[in-house]
Amino acid sequence: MINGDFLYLDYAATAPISNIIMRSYYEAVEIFGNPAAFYKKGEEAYQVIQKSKQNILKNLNHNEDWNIMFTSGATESINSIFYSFNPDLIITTDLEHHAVKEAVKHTSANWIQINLFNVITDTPNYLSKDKDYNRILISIIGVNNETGLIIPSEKIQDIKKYVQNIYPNAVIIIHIDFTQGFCKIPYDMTNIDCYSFSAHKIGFFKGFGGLIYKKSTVESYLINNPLIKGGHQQNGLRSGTENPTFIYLLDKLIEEHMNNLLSNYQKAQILKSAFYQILPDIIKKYNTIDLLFTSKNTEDYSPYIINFSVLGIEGESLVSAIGNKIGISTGSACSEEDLSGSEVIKNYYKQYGTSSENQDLYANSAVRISFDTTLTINQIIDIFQPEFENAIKTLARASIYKKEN
Amino acid sequence: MSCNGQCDTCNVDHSVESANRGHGISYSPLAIQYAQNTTYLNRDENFNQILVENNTDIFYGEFGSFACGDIVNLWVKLDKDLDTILDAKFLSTGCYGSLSSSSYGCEQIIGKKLFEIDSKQLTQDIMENLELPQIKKHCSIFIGQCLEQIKEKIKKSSEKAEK
Repeated sequence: MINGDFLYLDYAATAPISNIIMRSYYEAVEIFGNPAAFYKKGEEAYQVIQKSKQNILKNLNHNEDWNIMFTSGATESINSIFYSFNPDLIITTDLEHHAVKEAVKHTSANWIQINLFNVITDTPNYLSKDKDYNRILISIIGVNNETGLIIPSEKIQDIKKYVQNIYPNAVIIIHIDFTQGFCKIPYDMTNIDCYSFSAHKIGFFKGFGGLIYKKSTVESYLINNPLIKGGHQQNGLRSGTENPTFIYLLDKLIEEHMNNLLSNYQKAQILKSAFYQILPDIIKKYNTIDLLFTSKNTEDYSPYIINFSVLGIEGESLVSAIGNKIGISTGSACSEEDLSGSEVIKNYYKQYGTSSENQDLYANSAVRISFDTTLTINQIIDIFQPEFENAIKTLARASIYKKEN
Repeated sequence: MSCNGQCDTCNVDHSVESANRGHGISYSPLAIQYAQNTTYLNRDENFNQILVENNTDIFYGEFGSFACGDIVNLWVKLDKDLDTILDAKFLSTGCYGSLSSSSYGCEQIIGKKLFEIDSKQLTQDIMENLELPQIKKHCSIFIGQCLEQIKEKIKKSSEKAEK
């Protein structure tokens, strides 16, 4: 998206408000009643919420067993399922977002992290026959926020089967952190129990999202042990007055996204490919820097996210150098809290046997470009390419990295 | 070497700094100007090195690591008494904090007498004049640390010469 003369390429962090929201906003604010009230405006709000909810679930291709709990976003949804299910064992990957990692730390559960090859990367003793678990939560990041890596549903089923074999009596629930995939990546949710999303990633207002779950396996936990307690709104799932305006608008936005899911996906693939042609052409001109794509241009990765490292240039320098004209990110916005570089990138390369020194190098120089389909090839060529090349030229002159031949 | 909390290279506890700051790093216009200034880079337009070590009047120091995110290499050209700094050039792979402080640091030390430069004071001046955010404190020490290395090298070589 172009804002003034600024090219915004950080959609994985957040997206600008979608046009369909702008167009429908004035009719949506008319739905202001409290859905719990017994007069006409309250009833109207209640009806809008019911209808929009059904429509959202229909557009997301879910059957009647599925329901949606509206929350303040994916972070709350994740915290909610972790709190309500109260597992005694949690299995995640070592590539999770902070929202999951921190939520795990605030449970009393044992925590196992596995890598992409299903190898346990820490405390393997937790998975032994001597242990007795009642509730096991498998929480996996469906589309990685930094690398765009997609972990397919089948792979998660394999983990479940493996664990269920060891603990046949345990209740196992699968949660997907689907923040980066929601309304963007086709994903088979048939055998998944619940997933989280943040609406602002697809062009909605910040501070809204939800947990979409199967009633048959998850609802009882959410109702019996809700994270947010109070006036029993949303059937007691999450107290606090519901927002009919937002739910009405979100329905419209999801419908638009889902109707165009595949065509947008293909457009994004073309845009992504353009970057995969342009970036190596720029970098290869300089022998003091090198290019490493962490995300690959294949269907195993989101077409909306490109993560690459310009070896010899620190990610933050690159982002600062083009920051007046182009908005890209250093790995993940949260990584700025920590100078040591993205843990996700380090763990990603660790799995492929990269030396610890190189893990640091790759993580410190990682940057992420993410976009939606309003980006055009012309914008990439006319705005991104010259600005990026200009920044690279200066930074490459300062670089002390020696390219390996 | 890794920067997990306590950084080995710069002895700054990053975990404390992290807790004290919000998202995003905002550099002052002056810091950005110095980060983009190529005057003190030890490469000309064609990427040829300008100051080369092993000339008797050119000394070299390096500080940092890729693990920490920043590395700075510093070359200084001294007068024939190995006293006054005639020229200073650097190369750096690092953030805008380290690029701007190295560039500004080079400008500051040219014309000064090497052994009269107080590295701690230099670091302090860099921090204050470039208005670097507190989180970038560790980036401003690089030139000072390189200078200390160069001083050591000169002292050692003069000791050898005396023997």
